[in-house]
Amino acid sequence: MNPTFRPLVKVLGLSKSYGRRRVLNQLEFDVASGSGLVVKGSNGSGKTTLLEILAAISRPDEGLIEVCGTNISDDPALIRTQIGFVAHSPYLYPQLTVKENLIFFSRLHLVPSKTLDKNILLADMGLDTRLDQRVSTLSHGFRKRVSIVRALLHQPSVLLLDEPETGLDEETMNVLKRLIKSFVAGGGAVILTTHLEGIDYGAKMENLFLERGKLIGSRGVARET
Amino acid sequence: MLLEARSKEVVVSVLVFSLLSIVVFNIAFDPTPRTVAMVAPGILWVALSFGGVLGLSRTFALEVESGGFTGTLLSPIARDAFFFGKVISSFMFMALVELVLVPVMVVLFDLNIPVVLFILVSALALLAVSLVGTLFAAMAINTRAREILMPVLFLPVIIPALIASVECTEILFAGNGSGDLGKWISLLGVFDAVYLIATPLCFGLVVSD
Repeated sequence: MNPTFRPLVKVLGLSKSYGRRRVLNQLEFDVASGSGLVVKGSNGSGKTTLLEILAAISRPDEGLIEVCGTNISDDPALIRTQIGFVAHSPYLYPQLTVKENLIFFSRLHLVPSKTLDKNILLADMGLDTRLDQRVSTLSHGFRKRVSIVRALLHQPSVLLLDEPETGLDEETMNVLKRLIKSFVAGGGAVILTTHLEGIDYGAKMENLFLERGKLIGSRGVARET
Repeated sequence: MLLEARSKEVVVSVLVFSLLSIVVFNIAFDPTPRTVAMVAPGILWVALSFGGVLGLSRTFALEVESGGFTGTLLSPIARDAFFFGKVISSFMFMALVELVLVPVMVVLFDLNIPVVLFILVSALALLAVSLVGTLFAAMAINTRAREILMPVLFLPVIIPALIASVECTEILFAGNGSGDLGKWISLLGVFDAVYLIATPLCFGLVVSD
């Protein structure tokens, strides 16, 4: 093992069932600082459940999960300060404007809302001209962009992305890839799920396959930069 | 609060429902000066509690459907802080409805209300409805039959507070001395104290998976 290896996310023996159906079965993996993990799998393979558990909004039945050295069951609130989660749903209030949403979620994360004016991500995402627009009037792609900004408001160490490519056009995908690359280069860890093959995120990403609740297949580095 | 201020969906529907209830009851009972103190408190609290059920389940449904609720749960904010935020907003919505409802009742039933004591009783009763209602709205929200489940869970639990509120209001509307007012206000106070401790604890369990 590399002596400089510092796992930001460490998962041991993670299992989760819904009724009799075991969705995740004894998962074990870790993700180091400055690297990423791509979890591939078909629909219903448990990818979203895995991310929800890592985001501390769902509880595992068993297993140990550490984020930045803290056990998730010991202090889920602390874990949530270290995690940014971009899910299928944008998790925004459609009746509020982009700015109102971002101010609201900044406050929840105890981030001064004044920092929003200096947030360069807004311009990168093409949102600086849409701050006063209601989220309900935005396209799916722009809602996802707002969702990505929301997930990064509190400068998390770990970024979770659930099938981020869904519904995004090429331009937004390029923005997302750039963002993932710079996030990983800045020492963060990215875990993303997808059911698509062949997407190059331009960063050091490992590939794992989730099938019937178990991780199988390659743990090799897909591409090194 | 901002969401509701923008849509006014819940306050308007609860207000219309409560006003209609009062008008219908007024026509149905045709209360005389002798019976008004017996009938009016029941009408008021039935209108407010049933309206509360309607409003509480709708406010949660709006947040869950939009996804904002889960977004909030992703933050490090304590679950009980989130719960009390919801309780405070529910309390204020219902207080607003009551603020409109009571003057209408005063006109329809020709009531003479001791304002300070009535505000005290209302505050305690609305707090009880908000605490219990917020918890059960959160419990019912992920079920398919939430509109049915919410009143089925809520009404049996809120009955002690509802009885105490009706008894207090009856004494106040009758205006013939304090009677058992202190006893019923104490019951409301104890109910609130118990549920102020129990409901945030239960809410934490309800929203975590």
